[in-house]
Amino acid sequence: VRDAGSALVVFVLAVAAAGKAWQLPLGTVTAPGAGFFPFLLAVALALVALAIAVRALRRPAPPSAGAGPPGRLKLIAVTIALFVYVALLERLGFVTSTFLLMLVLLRAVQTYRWPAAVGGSAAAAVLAHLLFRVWLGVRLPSGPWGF
Amino acid sequence: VDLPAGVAYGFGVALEPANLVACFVGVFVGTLIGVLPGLGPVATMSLLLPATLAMSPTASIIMMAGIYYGAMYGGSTTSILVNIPGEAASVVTCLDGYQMARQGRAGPALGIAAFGSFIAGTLSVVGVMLLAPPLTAVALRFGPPEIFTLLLLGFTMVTYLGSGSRLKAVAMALAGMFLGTVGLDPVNGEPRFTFDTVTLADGVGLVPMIMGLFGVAEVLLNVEAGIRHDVFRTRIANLLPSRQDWRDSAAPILRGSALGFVLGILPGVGAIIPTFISYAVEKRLSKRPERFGTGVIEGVAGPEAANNAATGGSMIPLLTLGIAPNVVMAVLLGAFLIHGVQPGPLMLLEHPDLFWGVVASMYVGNAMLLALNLPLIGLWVQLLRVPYGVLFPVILLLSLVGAWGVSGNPWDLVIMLVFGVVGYLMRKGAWEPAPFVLAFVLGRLAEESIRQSLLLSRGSFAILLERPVAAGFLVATLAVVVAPLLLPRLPALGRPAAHRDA
Repeated sequence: VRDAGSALVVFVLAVAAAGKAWQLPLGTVTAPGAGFFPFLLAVALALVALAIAVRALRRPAPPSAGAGPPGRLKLIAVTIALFVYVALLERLGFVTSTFLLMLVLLRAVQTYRWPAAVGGSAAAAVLAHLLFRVWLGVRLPSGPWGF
Repeated sequence: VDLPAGVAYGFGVALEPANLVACFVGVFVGTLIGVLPGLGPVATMSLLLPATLAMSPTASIIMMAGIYYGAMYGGSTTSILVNIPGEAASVVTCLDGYQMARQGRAGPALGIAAFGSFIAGTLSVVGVMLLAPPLTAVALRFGPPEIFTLLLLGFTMVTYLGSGSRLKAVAMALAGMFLGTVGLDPVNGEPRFTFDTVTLADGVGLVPMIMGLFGVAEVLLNVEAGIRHDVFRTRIANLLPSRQDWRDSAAPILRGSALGFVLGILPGVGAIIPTFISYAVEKRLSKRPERFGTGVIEGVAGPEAANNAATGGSMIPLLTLGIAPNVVMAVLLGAFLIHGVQPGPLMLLEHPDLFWGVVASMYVGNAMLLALNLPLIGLWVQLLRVPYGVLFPVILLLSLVGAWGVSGNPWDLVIMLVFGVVGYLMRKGAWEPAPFVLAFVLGRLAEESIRQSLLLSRGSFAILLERPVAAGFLVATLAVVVAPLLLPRLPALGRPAAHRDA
């Protein structure tokens, strides 16, 4: 059943993609235009996804052993932290954002105690600054404080 | 270039100090991540792609290749000592390797794994040197119809040889190909699916996509699963296998090398399937098959040789045709592309230093690995004690900085993270990312070549049948599609490993 669910998601995406491809010049079979192959691929994908969904619905899926809720929560926390990091990177600068990200990651998963997490994050941010910006010369964004 | 001159030239390039350092860093990092469970060679190579921008193309490919075959060595260490495959190609090594360790024979197991890998690596490098130049000569005469039909054959085999559902592999290949059409049309430059953004005009970035699908996704999976590992406490003494061990292992190593090399050339096989086949072959040929799984040295020697030889074999399609036969080679292809080098038949002529240098470096690297792995085994074992809670923030930070370093475009970070989530979901639903990435990389080329073929022939598909080589590839494709319907189903050799989270 879970297979059917994910296949239906793929199906919906493929139909949307086919719709988008339809708006491009399609050309003809012997002289295909920009939209021809994308459209063909999207339609084929939709059909295959549908076939997978139908098949999955016909035979019961074996019970899947997912990780328990604590793992799931950690996963979600880490994912959100990563996206927030990208959003903050150019506003707060590399060092500050990295410090915050590391703090969240160190607290979220292994739950290091606050002093260890703060110290570790600060060390990571400073080391990353020295390594990437000073030594390797990567042009990382600076925040309002100049770092 | 004739062979001896090429080989001599290659070693000249590989032994230049900068390339020697690159090779060492590659095999060192490869061993490191091979030992650490939860970070495979694909993830590492993709995470380090940006770092190679500062290096010469030759040095960076040497380093990338080093990571791949280095991981093959490292992976066997954890399989033997901890019963956890450091990476997927060492799954089979657990069967007998860990049993040997439990019987106090960890030393000879590690020793034969290292020597077997070295011998196989050496043989496969010789194979690449012998096979690649003539294949290149053939490939040079390929036009768009030949390239298209060859890609068709490749796609077909990729969907077959995956582990798990065929239909899903087909779906993933179609999705990857579709994603490859994002950006400017290769023939007339019309923007497709760019949503009027600059970031997407060049297409979805290969580097952030691979980093997300393999690097970030792997970290996310591990965070959720919460890896733990305990080192099997044993005194590792006597790494040199005895005379009897050698007698038992010699033939399996040679057979494993040949199997791995030949299978590695085929699209979609990679380094994992040959290990299963090698194990099955050794068991079949053995006089004492019932003892397999209880700690026989042949069960370690054969598969370990096979996975190393496969790394060499899989370089052949990439170096001669510019076609990535598996995901690792797709990442390597990405490394070539970000340096502005198109691998393929012309590379041997345009960048002979790159071709011969990389191949010779694989030999140098194998020698380094032997030195790294035998005396330093204790050091690698210590590494297993680094807690994942410290490791994973570092990996994530490296990937974020790396993706930023490629373009300085924050949207590339977003692309990487989105594909991290997508890759996680794919793995959870047993949708394989490998066909997806391969099709993404090759799809563009396929579209370009069929459209050019049709321009050449003024719209007639007959061009695919009129040219003998192209027609041959079409027939082979058809054979691959039809064969399984006619033959009784082969036991699914590659499946046990990949099926666990299905």
